[in-house]
Amino acid sequence: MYLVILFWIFVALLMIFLSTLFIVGIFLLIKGIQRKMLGLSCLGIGFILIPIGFVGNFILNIESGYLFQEIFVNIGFILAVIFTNKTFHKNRKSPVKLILIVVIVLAIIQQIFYGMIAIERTPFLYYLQAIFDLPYVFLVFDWLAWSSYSAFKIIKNLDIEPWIKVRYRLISILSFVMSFHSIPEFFQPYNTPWGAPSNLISLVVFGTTAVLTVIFSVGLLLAWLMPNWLKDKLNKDYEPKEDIVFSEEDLMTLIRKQLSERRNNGNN
Amino acid sequence: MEIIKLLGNALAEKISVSSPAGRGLIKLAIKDELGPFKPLNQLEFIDFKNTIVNSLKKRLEKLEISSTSEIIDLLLVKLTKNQSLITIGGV
Repeated sequence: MYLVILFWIFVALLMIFLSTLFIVGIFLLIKGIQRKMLGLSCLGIGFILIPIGFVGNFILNIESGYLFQEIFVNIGFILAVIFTNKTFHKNRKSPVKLILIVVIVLAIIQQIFYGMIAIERTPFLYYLQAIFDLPYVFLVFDWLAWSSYSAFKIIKNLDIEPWIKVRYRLISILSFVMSFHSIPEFFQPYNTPWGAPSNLISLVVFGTTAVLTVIFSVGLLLAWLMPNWLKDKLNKDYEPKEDIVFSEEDLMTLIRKQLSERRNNGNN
Repeated sequence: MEIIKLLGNALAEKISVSSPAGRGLIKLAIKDELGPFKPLNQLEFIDFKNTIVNSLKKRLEKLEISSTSEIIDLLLVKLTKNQSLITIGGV
């Protein structure tokens, strides 16, 4: 009885994860289109696709396991890597192309495994799929975590609004946490449905994954749709510098004056 | 926008003018490069890069600033290192 209740709690957490991710995805897609930011639009679409895959798999009640769902998840992951590359690594000497290619290859491998498992579910195939899933998930989420953390390290002592610094930190911490979500797969009994209340190990695996994904999605909701009261609270010791509005002529006169003063001081 | 503030402050420090003047110069260069109707919050990495390399360089040369190329290179490095601010700080 308790295990069944626990199962439904985890299902509720999974629903929170999917709906939150969908909301964040819609928000990012709208902002990406408004601001003409391709990377942000990619992440938005990716976050929308993942819940569609999960819900679609459930509604269509597809017999072939998670094949349908994984198509959407894999596209979502690839789009997340495109976001990371476009947001953090333009014109930089980073292995952006290599990482994208490796992620695409690993996504294809996952898809092939899910196809094979749909035909015949054997322990060999299941654990081989889990072994390949580990570097795939690590690469997608730790690449984002590392990129965001590196950018944060550069800006942390600069005159930047504190709420923006918090957003960087949240993205790096949450992505790092999410990169571990494939580890529980190794403990999942290969022949038991995901989270079956009749099997304690499966239920624990399901619960761990559900908790990790909820932390990730709710944290992302907070990072991207941060309420104004929270921004104000984080900015409470920060004094924004309002720019004086100059006409072009006045500004150029001011700059010439300042430059001339500097030159005179230099000569003296 | 945080990236404009960052670039403007770096420029101001380099040519020894006040920070508002440095930021103003960046905004003028953006206007020169992209016209007056492009909203600042729709600027992409490539817009900033082109602005620095073309319009800002011309403005600095007009002001008879020495070592213009060095300043342009410094701003390009700043932009590349902090490019994520355009997205992370702009939404």
